[in-house]
Amino acid sequence: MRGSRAPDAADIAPALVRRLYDRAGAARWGLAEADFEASLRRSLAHRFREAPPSVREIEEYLGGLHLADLALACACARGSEAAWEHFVRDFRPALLAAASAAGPDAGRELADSLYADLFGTEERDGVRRSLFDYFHGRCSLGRWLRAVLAQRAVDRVRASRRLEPLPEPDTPGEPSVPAEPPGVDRSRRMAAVRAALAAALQRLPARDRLRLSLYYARELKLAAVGRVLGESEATVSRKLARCRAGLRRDVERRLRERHGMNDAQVADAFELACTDPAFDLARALPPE
Amino acid sequence: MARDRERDAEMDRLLRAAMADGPEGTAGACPAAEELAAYFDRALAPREREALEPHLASCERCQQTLALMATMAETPATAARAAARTPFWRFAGWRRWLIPTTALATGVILYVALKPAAVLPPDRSPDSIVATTTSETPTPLERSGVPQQLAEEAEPTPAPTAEAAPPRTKSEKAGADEAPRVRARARGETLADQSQAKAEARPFGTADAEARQGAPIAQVPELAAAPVAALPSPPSAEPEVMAEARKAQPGGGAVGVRPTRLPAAEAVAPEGAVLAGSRAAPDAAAVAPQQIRSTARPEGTQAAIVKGAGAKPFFWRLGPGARIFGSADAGRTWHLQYTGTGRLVSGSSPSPEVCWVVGDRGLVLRTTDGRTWNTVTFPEPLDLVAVLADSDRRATVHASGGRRFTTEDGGETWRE
Repeated sequence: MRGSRAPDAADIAPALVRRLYDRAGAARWGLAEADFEASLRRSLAHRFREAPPSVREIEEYLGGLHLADLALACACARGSEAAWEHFVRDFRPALLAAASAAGPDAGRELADSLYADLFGTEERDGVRRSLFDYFHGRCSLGRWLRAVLAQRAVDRVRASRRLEPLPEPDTPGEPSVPAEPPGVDRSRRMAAVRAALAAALQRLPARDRLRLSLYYARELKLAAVGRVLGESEATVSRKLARCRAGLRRDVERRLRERHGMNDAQVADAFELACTDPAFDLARALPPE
Repeated sequence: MARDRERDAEMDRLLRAAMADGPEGTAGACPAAEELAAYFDRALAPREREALEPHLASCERCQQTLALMATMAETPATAARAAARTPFWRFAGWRRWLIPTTALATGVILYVALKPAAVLPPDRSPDSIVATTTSETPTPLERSGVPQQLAEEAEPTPAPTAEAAPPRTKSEKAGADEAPRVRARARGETLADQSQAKAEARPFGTADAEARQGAPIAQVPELAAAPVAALPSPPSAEPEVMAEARKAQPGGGAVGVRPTRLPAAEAVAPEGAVLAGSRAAPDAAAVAPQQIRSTARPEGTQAAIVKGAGAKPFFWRLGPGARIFGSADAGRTWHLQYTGTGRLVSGSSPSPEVCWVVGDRGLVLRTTDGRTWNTVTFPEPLDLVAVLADSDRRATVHASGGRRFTTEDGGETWRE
């Protein structure tokens, strides 16, 4: 039976808190049970912010958390030396190694600034704020650190991209108009394929679209796509092939039904689209 | 069929052209880092995942973040924790029995297929940069005369002679460099233990008490997706080594592989027995570096994995007792390259054959050929927690107190 109010101390049984506290090994960091309970409640509130959970849901959710990591993060946020020593020994090398994926210098800088934020160099209302306060134990601490690092790296690149100057028009060697204007028929077929493919992609399930984007737009290898989606390399390859086949059928059907093309024209349209360097669907697919 | 392949290739080209830039911008409010990390860790509930994926499919920022996370290095600690997140008994319904049933069936199939297990010839993969000969640059272990060969587990029946050994392995069938699959049990005293004990008794390297009781070597699931291949032995040495090893076992038990367990010195097999195989050809190409099978889920001490640079990266694993293992086949097989004293915690590899490794009390090691390790003098006995190397000359190490040291001349001088 669903609870009708937000989770509070009355819904988190003391025995459950104690059991989770012991399972987390929080005592070795000198973390008070009350502090650990507070982090559990924050995690609950973060997860069930839209609909209050039932008692059973609370138990299942809390039992599935990365408790040891949550206790460590909580203890670090509270300045436990033992916890920090453990974190530096176990996580910092991996953090630095992970940061190198963002580039040798940029990565190091990101890792250092992240480390400072984790330590908590900022104070708010007299209380030291640490980035660890945003970790709620739903994933492993290592994975969370990587996600934070990756987001910061991406945001930095995106911010620098916004500052890049626009290309100058009529630069020597870069004519602003094509040397040979496309024929009407060619343009029509290109537009038809573009529209048909855009519509076909929109009809795909979100997971399939994500898989295609990771592979074609982000140019990840099959194994890396599999890591993101929790699929094996073979599964990713098979599903991509199935997607391509389905998209092809869908596009061909639209070209025949809506644009009145025959088989030869459909084949020709595909060939044009494959070879035309200006074919770019990105601007045809508005973000959701 | 050919027409289908052609159409698929055409569609592939079309999608590459069409999706070259992917979606632009962000698709509404992006999820927090923890939600992305939980998605990556498969920790979201199915409904949460389904609600998130439409955003991810349309958001450039989130896709770039996920892509970067996919390329970030992973340590055995995080991999093991992620793998341990959902115990199988928490699966609902029939899936609860899927894993134990599959494991049992796999065990039966392997038992039938691989019986009897054989000791196989050395790995001659041309991609491996670990020396398989001792004639060129001997490793410290080779110089110490430590037997370099591990025997695989055998059934408690007489081992086949080299001539009678059936061509069961993949490498024998394919005639290629692919190492065959064998089964190895991690019980009992083994040739590996005896070899290790010999190593401990020799002047080169001494393992501390912790290493003697060391935990199994951590396995990185994504690096060891395929069953681990065995280290083959020279055909001429096979029956002799196996037979003598079995004689050395109390009660004539089977020989197993337990890479990190170091028994007491008195358990060492007779000189003429275990070492016969390797000593028969100490400088021959057939003497292979010591290979260790990765065991399953890590327990106790975790080992760090250092991934080399390059398209086909070499991997190094840092084990207890300041040991370094190398793998040229993405973790399927490991070769012991170095053993010393102290504890190693972190490494950095800026190029395919260069790797720097650091540890407690100012311990810094470096290889410039991917296999031989040299100690680099460090000015203070600090506990070093991380290293970032740009080349074989330039590296920066971080100490536990936050101090940072950089060398530009391969460790001859350091500046803080």
